[in-house]
Amino acid sequence: MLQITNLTTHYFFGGQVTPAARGVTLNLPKGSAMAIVGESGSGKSTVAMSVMRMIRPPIGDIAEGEIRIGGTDVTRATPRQMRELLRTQIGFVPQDPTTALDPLYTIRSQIVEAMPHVERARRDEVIVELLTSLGIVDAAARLKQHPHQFSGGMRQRVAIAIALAKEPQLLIADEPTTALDVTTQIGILRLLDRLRRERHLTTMFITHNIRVARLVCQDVAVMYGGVVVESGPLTVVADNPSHPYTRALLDASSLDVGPRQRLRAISGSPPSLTAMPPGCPFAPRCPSATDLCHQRMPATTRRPDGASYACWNPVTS
Amino acid sequence: MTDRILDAVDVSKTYRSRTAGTTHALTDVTFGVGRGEMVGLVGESGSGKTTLMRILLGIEQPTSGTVTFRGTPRPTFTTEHRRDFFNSVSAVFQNPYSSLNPRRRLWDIITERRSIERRAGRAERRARAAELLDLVSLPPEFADRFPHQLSGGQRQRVAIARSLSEEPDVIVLDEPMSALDVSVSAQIANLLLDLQEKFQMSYVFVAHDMHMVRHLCHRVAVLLKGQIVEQGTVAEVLGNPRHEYTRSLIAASELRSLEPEEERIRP
Amino acid sequence: MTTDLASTTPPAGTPPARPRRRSGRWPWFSGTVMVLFAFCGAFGALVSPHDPNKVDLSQSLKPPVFAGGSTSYLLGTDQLGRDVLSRLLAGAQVSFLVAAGAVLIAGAFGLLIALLAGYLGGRLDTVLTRVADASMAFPVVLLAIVIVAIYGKGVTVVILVLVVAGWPQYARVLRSEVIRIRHQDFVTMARIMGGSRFWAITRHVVPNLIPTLLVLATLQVGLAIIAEGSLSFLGIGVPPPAASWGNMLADGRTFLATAWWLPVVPGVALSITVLAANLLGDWLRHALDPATRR
Repeated sequence: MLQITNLTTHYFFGGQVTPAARGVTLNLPKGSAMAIVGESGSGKSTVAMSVMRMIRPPIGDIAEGEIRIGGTDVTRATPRQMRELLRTQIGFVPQDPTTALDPLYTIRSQIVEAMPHVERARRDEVIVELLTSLGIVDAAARLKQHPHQFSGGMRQRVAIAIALAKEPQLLIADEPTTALDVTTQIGILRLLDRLRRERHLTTMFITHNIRVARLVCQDVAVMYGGVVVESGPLTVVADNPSHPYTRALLDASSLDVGPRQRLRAISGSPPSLTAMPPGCPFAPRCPSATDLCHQRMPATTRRPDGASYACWNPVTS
Repeated sequence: MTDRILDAVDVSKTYRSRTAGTTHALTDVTFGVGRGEMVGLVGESGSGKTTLMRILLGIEQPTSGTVTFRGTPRPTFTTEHRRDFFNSVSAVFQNPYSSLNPRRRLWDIITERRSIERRAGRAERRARAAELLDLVSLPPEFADRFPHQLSGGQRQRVAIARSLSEEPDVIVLDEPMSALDVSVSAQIANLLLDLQEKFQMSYVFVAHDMHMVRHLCHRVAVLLKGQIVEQGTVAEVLGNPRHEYTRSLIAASELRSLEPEEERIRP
Repeated sequence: MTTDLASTTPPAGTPPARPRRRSGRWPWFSGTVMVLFAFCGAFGALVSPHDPNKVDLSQSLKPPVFAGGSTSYLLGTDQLGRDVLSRLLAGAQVSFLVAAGAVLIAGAFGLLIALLAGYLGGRLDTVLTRVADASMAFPVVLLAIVIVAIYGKGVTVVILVLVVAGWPQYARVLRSEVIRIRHQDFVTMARIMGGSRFWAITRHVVPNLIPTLLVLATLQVGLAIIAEGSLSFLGIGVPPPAASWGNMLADGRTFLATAWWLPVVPGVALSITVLAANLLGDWLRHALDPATRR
């Protein structure tokens, strides 16, 4: 459904060309959910924005690679074709539901905007059905309400409704639960999981929290410093990671640490986009880095169990 | 009595507004922290945890009830008490991007309390700033930088350094890791544990989930709609939660599974 | 310690520093123009080639030197034979006084009101905001006529008019900035550390207002110069025969077809000065911001 091959996206900051995603290759089969896991500056949002062709000059541009949605290569699409694709095939759920909805318009008019193909007379009926299926009670009465009359979790449901109104093939969710309370988060996660199963929705789930990813995704791509350092079936990668960064990320968010024991933190901080090390981006923080790691970026190695990693000295368990 | 540091006793807070009517942000809340104790205060948005935090810090007044500091109620503070309070109670906020004045250098930010008191000259403040930067593992040359030159994790270290400036007895930590990357937030958690071991101060750790509270705290209080629904040691509350809300909060914090498949709808 | 020394690399995630426009080096154009303007304002009379008010009908309507005139009247003469360059220099003094006076006084007053309204809030805020709204609703020209009727014409009266008309702009814009800054965590932290309101305002709020204040002030420098011109043009500004750029424009407008330099010279001077003021303000804002300087 969504195939990203060797994607490299640059930003243009102050006359400099800064690569934010480098050689990213991902494959999302129809009806599956893939988590793009990474910290800020890892390039995870850049990949999502590239898929929607939201990065264009003067901000940045796709420098290389191919992004196929269904039959279309997004990187070659004209702006007109791209708008059509965004209008009909790609649903986007943003991180912050408070700024994603326009406070001036009613919920109804914001959803209607995303469903021009539905005939006028049936619109209200379809919207109510959609909102009800997303867990909004008494949806008919709430159509005329404005965003400020909804709680954070409810606003996120409305944002999801907008994304789904066009009946998309692909759903891109950028940290959809980060701004929410934990009990609300679990509700939204359940909802996304159900939608994927019922509608065979291909989902790209961007998150910094690998524990959240485990609940809703089958596949994972772990990104660091603009490259995919490890990818594959989520359970395989999470149970038996090869890349030291994946290992460290799992350790840092582990639940199995005793009270007031030190967490296994990763020293240092993620690299800046403008000062990317020449070799493996994780090398400066990696416990098992060698000279080779600092000099050359490792190639991707495939494991027999379907996972692949880019590391010179993979973790063995 | 002397072992108590900071307590809110039967504190209520109501807000009146023309549009929303009367809101009960807090209802008869008793919560506090003793010497050397790390206490979690957990609640979701709208639970009143921020209001309670602000009341403990003295930047909001309770509608009824009192806050006591070392057993002395706040309204009866003398000038001496007030000085002691400002030196002994400090805070670290959630957002390291808005908690540091962008127009001040770090040494100046870290030692602001001494500047307010006008009891230290520039040289003395700079010397203290160097000690504090060292405590939070930042290099001394950071003293002359501005906040925008730092990463989120580094800023949070600066905010922690500022909170340590007068060797406080209690630091109120408002979700200090929630705005940080996963790999950096573990560093900050470890730093907080190191500092506590070294100085034996108390922490009030405000959080919206149980994840870090389970790890860091001795005791925990769960706040729901302005009331404390459960309070006890972390082992008691997390091992054997009695209130239904605590149970759902623990489950949601652990993220072990999506079950049960019931959707809780709140208006 | 198990926590490691945080690396000194710039932060990830935050975009790299914005391209630094105009912040590194001295802004030659705007800086030079403003220095020249200030110099003419202060010492214009000393370098003036002629007496700006000396009438000599035998020398009337001489074109500037670059349009075929003589070198003794570099920018030509007006219908009464007065030297345009000398009048321009004398007018600069008026414009400078008016602009500096109006901007400084209105800015200071507006800032004070903004701090009172925005920081103390409550009923005081409501009252001050209403007063500002009411003064903004009052037409400037009517205001000028009323003030002139009471005090008569003069430079101080022009400044007074512009201050009365200008302060609400500062107050309204700065008030919302004060409210925004007041809610930043570093201001709350200052209170937690025992800082007084005065401390929070002087150390935290005012320094962070500077960028906004500068933008407003430079816009108002331009507006003040133009407003002085308009008032003089309408005959309620600086009284003749004293020169000001405004009454030079007003007097010269009837000669546009026959002696174009009379309206064009003060017009160009006014435009260049206003442009330079805006560019300089833009530069200053960058230069004073820790995030964009160096």
